[in-house]
Amino acid sequence: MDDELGAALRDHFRRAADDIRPDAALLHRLRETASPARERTTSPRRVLSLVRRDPHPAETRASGASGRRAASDARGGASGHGVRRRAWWAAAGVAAAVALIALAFVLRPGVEEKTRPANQVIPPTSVPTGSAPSPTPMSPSKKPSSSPTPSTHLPTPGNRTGTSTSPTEPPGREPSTRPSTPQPGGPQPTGGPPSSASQPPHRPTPSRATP
Amino acid sequence: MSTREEARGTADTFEEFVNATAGRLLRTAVFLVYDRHLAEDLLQVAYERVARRWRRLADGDPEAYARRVLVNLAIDEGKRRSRRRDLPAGSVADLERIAGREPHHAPSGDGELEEALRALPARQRAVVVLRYWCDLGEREIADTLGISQGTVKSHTARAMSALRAHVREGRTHG
Repeated sequence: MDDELGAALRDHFRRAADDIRPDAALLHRLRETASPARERTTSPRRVLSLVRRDPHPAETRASGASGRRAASDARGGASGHGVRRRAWWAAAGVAAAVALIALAFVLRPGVEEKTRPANQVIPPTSVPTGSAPSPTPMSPSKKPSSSPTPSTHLPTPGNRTGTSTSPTEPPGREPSTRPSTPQPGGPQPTGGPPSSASQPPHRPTPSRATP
Repeated sequence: MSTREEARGTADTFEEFVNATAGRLLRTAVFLVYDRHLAEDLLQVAYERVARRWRRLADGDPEAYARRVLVNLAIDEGKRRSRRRDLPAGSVADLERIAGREPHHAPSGDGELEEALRALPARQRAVVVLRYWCDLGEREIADTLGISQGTVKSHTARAMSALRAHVREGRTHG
């Protein structure tokens, strides 16, 4: 029964197929429909390609089998050049992008200010930690008056502005309460410019104390 | 089929492939959906998909790929129509059907068999078409439909049973 039905089906399909033929319009439509599909698939590759396409591919195609092979060879060669050219363009684009990013990081304003906190103040001179601080007289114009120094201010009668005792002073030595004797380069009791706050008043300068 | 082998071997360009296979694939499409206009639309979609992958398919069997696309499109269309349970107005055939006229379809066949084939589910009809029109074996049908050979056998058995019952019923009524 299945063989009979199978034979009937084959016969049915064969007889029906005689009346089904694609007309020229359908064939043309199928060919033309396929062309844009291929164009769409290759369009992203053409974005960076500078290779000139054959403006009349149909004429090349219609020239026969040898022409077809020649056209395909030509397309292959052009595509090879196109690949190299696209590679160069891609490399140039990547390099330009990297350079732009690097420039943006280097030339970004406010990078120097942000590397140091705004409230941190660096002392202008280093704190003397040695045994004998050099009491180099500083002119009033060079005196840093506003910058705080890590020193203890002890008011003395001779110096109304206050003298500073260095934290590196030996602990056995008491701060002197005597009136300060005039020192060379030191504060003058009868007027004159006050000495620097960072200058130790009671410590004679070894180099200048000697006659 | 020798003609298919020849067509596959000489189809250097897509246009030649279309010229060589359009007739066979159009008949297959018509037998799958029994609607000439819908078959042309499905065939156009199938050729478009083949054209997109032509460089990869040119060395293989592009007609088999096109047939697979065609069968899957026909099955999807059958499912869509059965799910909506109405006649979609998307093609000339649909308009003719809505207007009450019989759409232009595969003519001059056996009336009983044609009616029975129309009544089959899309997948069973695809199995029958691939087996008795395309002369494919069970393995090739399974590859085309993406199902197992056992499923192909069961679909074939059910389709043949339905066709047999339909023809028997038609003979008794006739």
